[in-house]
Amino acid sequence: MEELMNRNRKSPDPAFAHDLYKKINKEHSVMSNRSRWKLPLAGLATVVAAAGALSIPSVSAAAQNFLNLFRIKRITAISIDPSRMQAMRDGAQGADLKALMGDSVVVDKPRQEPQVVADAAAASALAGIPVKLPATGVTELLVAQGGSARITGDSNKLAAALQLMGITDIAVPAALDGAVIDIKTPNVVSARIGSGRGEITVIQAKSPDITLPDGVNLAQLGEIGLRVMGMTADEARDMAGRIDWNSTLVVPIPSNAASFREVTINGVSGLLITSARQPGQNSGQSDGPRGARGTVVMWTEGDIVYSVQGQTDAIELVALAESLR
Amino acid sequence: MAVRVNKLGAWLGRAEAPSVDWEAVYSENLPRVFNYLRYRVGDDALAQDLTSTVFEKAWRNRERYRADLAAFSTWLFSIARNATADHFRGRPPETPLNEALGMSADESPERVAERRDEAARLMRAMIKLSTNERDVLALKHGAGLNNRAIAAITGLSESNVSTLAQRGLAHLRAIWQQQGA
Repeated sequence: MEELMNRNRKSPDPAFAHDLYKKINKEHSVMSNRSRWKLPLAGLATVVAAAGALSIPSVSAAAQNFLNLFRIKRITAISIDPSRMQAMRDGAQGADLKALMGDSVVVDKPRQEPQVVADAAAASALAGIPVKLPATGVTELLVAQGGSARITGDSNKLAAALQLMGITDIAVPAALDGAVIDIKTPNVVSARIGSGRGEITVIQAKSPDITLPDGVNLAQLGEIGLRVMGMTADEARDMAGRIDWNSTLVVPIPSNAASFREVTINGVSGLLITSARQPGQNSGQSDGPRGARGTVVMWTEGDIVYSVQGQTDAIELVALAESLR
Repeated sequence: MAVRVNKLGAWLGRAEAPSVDWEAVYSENLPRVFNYLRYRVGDDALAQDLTSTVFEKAWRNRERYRADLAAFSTWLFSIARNATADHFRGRPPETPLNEALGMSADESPERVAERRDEAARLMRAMIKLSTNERDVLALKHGAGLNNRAIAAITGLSESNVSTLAQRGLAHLRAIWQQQGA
């Protein structure tokens, strides 16, 4: 009977869907663009994320690159120029980015390969955090222990790297010269729920610790990061001034790859990111109840950051997020 | 100085109220709402009309949506349920079959027979369920929601949702078999 009911679902008539959208869109088209960018401009869309938390299916590889960068550079979450992201993804600008951070990177403790653990208790013991999981459905549980590194800044190299990227109208802080930045990446717990297309991944970790010497202005570095991500000078200055850099971790979102909105997870504000449809996926009007868009929801509780992601719909993902115990 | 991720809510609280990505909401929820309404009212054309009503009403009242109280979809489905209740208000609990299927009373038996395909038969069976059973099954199998999401929308407990869904399916199966007999 259930199968019969599921089978008899149907997509709305495309003409109807189109006409209704047009009807609504006529009213809100002007607002649409404004709404979409209201968040970044207000500082709200500076998407908070945790180490290991950003991996929307559609942008996973590129996001991972940014995440690695982010851990070190604390680049604020913004709408990213996709071509720049692609360039980074391809590694074309990798050398420049390394230069941007100075090449005095000393890895004190490399990040460990993930280990399979038996249950939540074992994961908690190994990761040093209280691990939350859904009541059923966990097919794999991994813990990757974090590492630590130090970076020594070099303002000349940073200036050179910026110049290579065509950014010549921003001052590189002299205090960066010789400044040592300590970075501790956290232990990350990753749980796979279910399998196949319906697979959902739950990631949880403490936030990374990045310690800077006195005299290094976070907002100034943030502004540089925003420029590197493709913002104009005015936008970067405006946004850098709005962010509390001491408490906000920010994630870049490719402008053509995802949309985002606020959701509530057990009374706590969280962020829901829905990736754009992938090439080759159904491009019809309707996703159907089991749409193929990648979705990730992120939120924090205390000093733990959580991420739940999968190719499922937002409601299901939020429900799973709320069921973690 | 340690740079940390603080509670998301802390900085969200300092920022503007969040806006909704209407395009994403539309593409994600249109098929859900439409199929929910199809299973509630048993007629595609009527479901389309009500779907339009729901989305237009949601858009008109978007300022009333409060992210701190409910997920957007929960709010949208509460509008859909109200629209359904408004539609049935003042009508007999058991909507006449012809009306439910959008058939005119004077349709020929051949025409009626033509339309009695599986979907129509399912709709006929659905109409005979109690309002609560129909509502839960429409949310579960029309909108494709899980019990937790349905509980949030209906205000029922998850176990009540599960019981209603199971009872509704059993009831539907019995009606279905009766129809085929």
